[in-house]
Amino acid sequence: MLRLPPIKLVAPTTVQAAAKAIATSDDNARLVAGGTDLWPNMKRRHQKADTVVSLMSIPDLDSIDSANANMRIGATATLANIIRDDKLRARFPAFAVAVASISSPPLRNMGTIGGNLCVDTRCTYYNQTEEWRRSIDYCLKEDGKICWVATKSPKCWAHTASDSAPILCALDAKVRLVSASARRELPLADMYVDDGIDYLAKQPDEILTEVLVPGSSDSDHCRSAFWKLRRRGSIDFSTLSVAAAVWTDDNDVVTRASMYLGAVGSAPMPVAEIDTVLVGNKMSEDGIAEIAHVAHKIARPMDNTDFAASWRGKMTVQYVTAVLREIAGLPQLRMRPRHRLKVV
Amino acid sequence: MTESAIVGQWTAAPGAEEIVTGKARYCPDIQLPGLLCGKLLYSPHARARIRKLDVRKARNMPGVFAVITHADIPGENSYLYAEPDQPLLVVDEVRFQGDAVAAVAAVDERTADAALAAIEVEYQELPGIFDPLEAMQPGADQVVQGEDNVMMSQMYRAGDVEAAIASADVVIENTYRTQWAEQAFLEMEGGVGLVDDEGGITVYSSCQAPHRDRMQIARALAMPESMVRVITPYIGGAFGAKDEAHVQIHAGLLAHAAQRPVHLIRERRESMLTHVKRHPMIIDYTTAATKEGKLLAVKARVIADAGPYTNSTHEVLNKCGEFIGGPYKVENVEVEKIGVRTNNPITGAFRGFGAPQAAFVYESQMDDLARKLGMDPLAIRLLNGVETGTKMYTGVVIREGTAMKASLNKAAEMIEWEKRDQVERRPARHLRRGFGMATILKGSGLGRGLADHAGVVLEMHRDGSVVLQSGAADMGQGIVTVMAQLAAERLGIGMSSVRVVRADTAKSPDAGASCASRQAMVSGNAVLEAADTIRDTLLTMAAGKTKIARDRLDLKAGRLTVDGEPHELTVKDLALRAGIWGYPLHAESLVHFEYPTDVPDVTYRFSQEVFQFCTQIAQVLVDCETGQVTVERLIAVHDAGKMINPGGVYGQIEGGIAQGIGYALTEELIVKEGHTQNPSLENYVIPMAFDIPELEMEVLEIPEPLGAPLGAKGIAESPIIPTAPAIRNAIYDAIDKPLYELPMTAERVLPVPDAGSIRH
Amino acid sequence: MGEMNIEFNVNGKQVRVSAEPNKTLLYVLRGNLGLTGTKDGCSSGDCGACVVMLDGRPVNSCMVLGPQVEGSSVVTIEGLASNGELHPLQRTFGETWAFQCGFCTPGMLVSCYALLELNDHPSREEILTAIAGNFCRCTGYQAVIKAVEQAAAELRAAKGGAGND
Repeated sequence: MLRLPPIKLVAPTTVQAAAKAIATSDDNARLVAGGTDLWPNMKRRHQKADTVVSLMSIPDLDSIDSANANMRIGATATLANIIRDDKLRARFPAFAVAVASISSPPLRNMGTIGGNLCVDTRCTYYNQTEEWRRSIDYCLKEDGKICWVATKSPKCWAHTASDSAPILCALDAKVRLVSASARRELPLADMYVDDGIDYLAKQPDEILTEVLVPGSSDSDHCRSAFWKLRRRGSIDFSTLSVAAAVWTDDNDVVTRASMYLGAVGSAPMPVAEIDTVLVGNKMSEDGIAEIAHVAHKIARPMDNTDFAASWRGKMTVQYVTAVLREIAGLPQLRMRPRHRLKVV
Repeated sequence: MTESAIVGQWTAAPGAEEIVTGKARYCPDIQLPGLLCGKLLYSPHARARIRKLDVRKARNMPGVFAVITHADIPGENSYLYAEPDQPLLVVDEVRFQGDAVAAVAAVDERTADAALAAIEVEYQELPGIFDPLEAMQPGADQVVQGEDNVMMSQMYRAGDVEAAIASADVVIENTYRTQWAEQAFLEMEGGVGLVDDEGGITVYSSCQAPHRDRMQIARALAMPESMVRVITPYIGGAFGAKDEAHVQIHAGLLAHAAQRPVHLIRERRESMLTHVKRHPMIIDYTTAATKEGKLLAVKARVIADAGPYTNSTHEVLNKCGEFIGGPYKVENVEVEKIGVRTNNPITGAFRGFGAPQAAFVYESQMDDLARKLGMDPLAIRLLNGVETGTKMYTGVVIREGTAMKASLNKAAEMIEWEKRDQVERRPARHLRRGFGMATILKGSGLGRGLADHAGVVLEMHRDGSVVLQSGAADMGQGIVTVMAQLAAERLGIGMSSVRVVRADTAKSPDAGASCASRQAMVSGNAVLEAADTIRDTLLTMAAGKTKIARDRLDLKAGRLTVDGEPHELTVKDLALRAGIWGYPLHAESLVHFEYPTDVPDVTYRFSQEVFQFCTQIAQVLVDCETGQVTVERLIAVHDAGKMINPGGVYGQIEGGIAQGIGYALTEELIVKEGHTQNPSLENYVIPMAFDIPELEMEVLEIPEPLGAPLGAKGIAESPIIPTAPAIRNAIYDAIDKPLYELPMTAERVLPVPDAGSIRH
Repeated sequence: MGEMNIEFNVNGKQVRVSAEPNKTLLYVLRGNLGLTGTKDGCSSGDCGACVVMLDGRPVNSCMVLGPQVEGSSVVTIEGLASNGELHPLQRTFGETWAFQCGFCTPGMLVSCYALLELNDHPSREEILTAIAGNFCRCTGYQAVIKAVEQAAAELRAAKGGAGND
């Protein structure tokens, strides 16, 4: 069977101790939470570590405070527990839907929100076993010199694979990062870098300890939606995801809007124009069409995952439209994705 | 008529309790003292010359007990299914990404991996041959030096196709393409080899054909077959890919070299890269018909990309050609079958042996013909469908063909075919609903002229319990249950009184391979024959004891019955007496499947003559702007002749349809320049629970007259066959766009023609 | 790397094993404890054959490290029967032919068992969700749904019966 390489596993019981462990480790050290991304990647040898610092023994790092005006989710809260939180589901349904779409129930029982936000970027030429990658002389993202997706590219095109990131970015979430020497708060959107290799602005010795979702959203009539494109009703990573949040006043006039695309770039891609198009107006078919057009230009699907890139590009238009129609309460033109986005 | 107590009843499989409690042992679960870990070194290249192969370092590593290359194989260095052209360990040239180069056995997995890494191989990469059409051209570079890339080219002709086409009112001609498909059994290939007490080799093998495995292991070891024993433990699925040998021969070689037991289990990636896939085919197909819709002629040219080695390409193309005309009356048929060598993955058996590819083509074209003539798809199929007594173009006479039309009519009734236009065809602006059907036939059994036999040994003990020994491998399809049911039924005992010994060549007579939907028939008959011998002894004894006429006696529910009424004597009493009085309650049988001799005109080689008929109807919803297809309903009507084990029959149908939906819509091994891009269950997209609609299944029981036990016949292959064309025809119905290539992905469904103004 | 001592509860029994930290729970169960009921189908979380209950929740045991289960409680397919009595699910799985080859069954059964522990009246949708990480190539999933529904009905009847006494 696929096996993990030898590792040194440390499991500190405080964030400070974990921060110190990662900072002072003199070999190649990595953080792990649920391990559902890191372990298979290490089994396939495309992520490497001598020491792994587990955050799972830190008490209360998995707590979810969804009653507070500003919702706070500890980094090691499992994806399953996020879906199970009634208040969270009521206040941020699209977030719950996005989390429920991740992989499968047993994986959601181990996988954590912090882990999903930091999940490694993915590519057909990268997420393969060591033997397979060796047979193509590896790739730019790890151990090799050429990006097989765009052979002349100086940059790695691996795509972001987090389903919780686009919706949390759209909801203006912030993350708290703690290192041995400092702590800072960062808008989640700023944590991502559009580069397949160095895709996080988080430093390797910084620990993502919690996610903060501002709570003004519900009082201001925030409506949000999330759609994900993949072949099957479970398991598959997204090949495109669209998340949006729209705030309206009492007269249904849009006061603020935000949209991010997942899996069509190395980072969640903001569709900044949504604000200019929608704000000050009621949502309309014309406005939706305009945003879909803009989003299509922003999306950069590559042939690095399931489905043809050109088709995924076309789907950006369809899925952006579907998301905004859902938010606007307009009748759907699309089949619901085959997977159940319903949270059970 | 007396109701069957066991046959035809839902009953848990023997071994079900072992499975649900985790006690059932599959190859990976076998533990033995001193068990070594075996591994194979596979080629990373699709084609390369081996310039250097040095295993000395690996051999000298501590903990390494054996490292073998082609030079260390005592006997024949080849697999032997049909042709001995695939080496067990490559000599000088690797010909696909997955050819094995060396094998190691070490004290544990880590050491085995280190030993593999220490083997020095220098490859000189060679330009590969990946396009079968190019490979066929004269003068093309040869995949196997000295061998024509066209490994097989056969023309079969019946009637006068050209004349029929010339006289036809309608002629339809298209080219179809199908993909590489992966069997994806959940338990990967495995074997455990050990040196037994007599110095022979015993191998636990996850396989479909233990006796053929024994032959292959013996010839590789240059040992008499009598010194080789193959045991099948529980087997975690096969679907054709374990019909041909995989690593069990290497397990035997390593155990022999190390003189220690060796565990050899493939990883998922290795499994997906190295075993035979379903052949991708390019099929040119022409149908000619009268304006009334009567089929006049079928002409086909089938080109199969076989990969570098023969494997079961002949068998697959043979079946593809045999059924290329579908379940229809058509006299003029011409089919050219061409197998081509390339440096792509090896190919072979996968549920249906070429029949799924054929059905995708003939059932697609049947709908195209119906459209062209403005006929209803149901009507044109009923018009042309075979019946009992129909003589096929192959010369085979269908002994029982009622199910062809019965399954069509039943399926049409279940979905209310006539009222399908009353269903909302356009539930939203860009959504279209459509209905499509496909009906097929597929033979059961190996075919005329081939050794199609099975033996069993049956013994009743003094306590009335029974041991049944058979060489038929049960990979999950349920032959063990069927055999136990037949034995229990005939001997009037409960299922719990029958123990079936899983196939073990030291104990069980050869039953041939578990393939071609044959075991329920052949081994089923063997069980009936053996059981009847014991039953006869018991009843003769009982008649003597009770002084009641023999023909009034029967065995049922553990008792002797007289005119159907329970007698005080139990089967157990009779068994005990037989033991004491020395009556042998032991029977052996060897049954050959008898092909009828009264059909002199059979012109197709290895033709099958017992037929599985089935019809499936799909209702799909297509999104015209995304191309996504959802199968909303799937109706399946299958003829089982007689259901011996309903749980198994429904399970086979459901599982086959699930595979068929994958084959139709999502499953495809993506191979670029001989390199498989998606060798994992993550990226080879197989339907999971959410991806399959609630299936509506109906089983017909029209007794099969031709050598089938109690009228039952195998149905294992048929469920996967009509699914893809039914879905294809439903998509056509929904969006007015015919598709000619599998899988029918969203990318291929787009663009939808004239999406704004589609009919309905 | 040295081996670590891990003490945890498996199927109601406290066990102590010594394993290197890179060994998965799947490996520890099969290799150290000889509990070979739990299967390896892909080693990467895609097939669900290795699903076990960890502290009441189904998880892929190929995705959990041995040392991570220190002090925890694990239930495998070998632990579903109690006092020699099969759990109703185990029986209905056999009766409805919810498996053929049986290799997916250890994980599939545990996923369904976990569902019924929380919910003895699951909808079809809830059952599908519970098994959405379990791949079956032989049988599809319809018979599994039937088996779960039948077992759930039996469990409810057993509880109702107790209430009426």
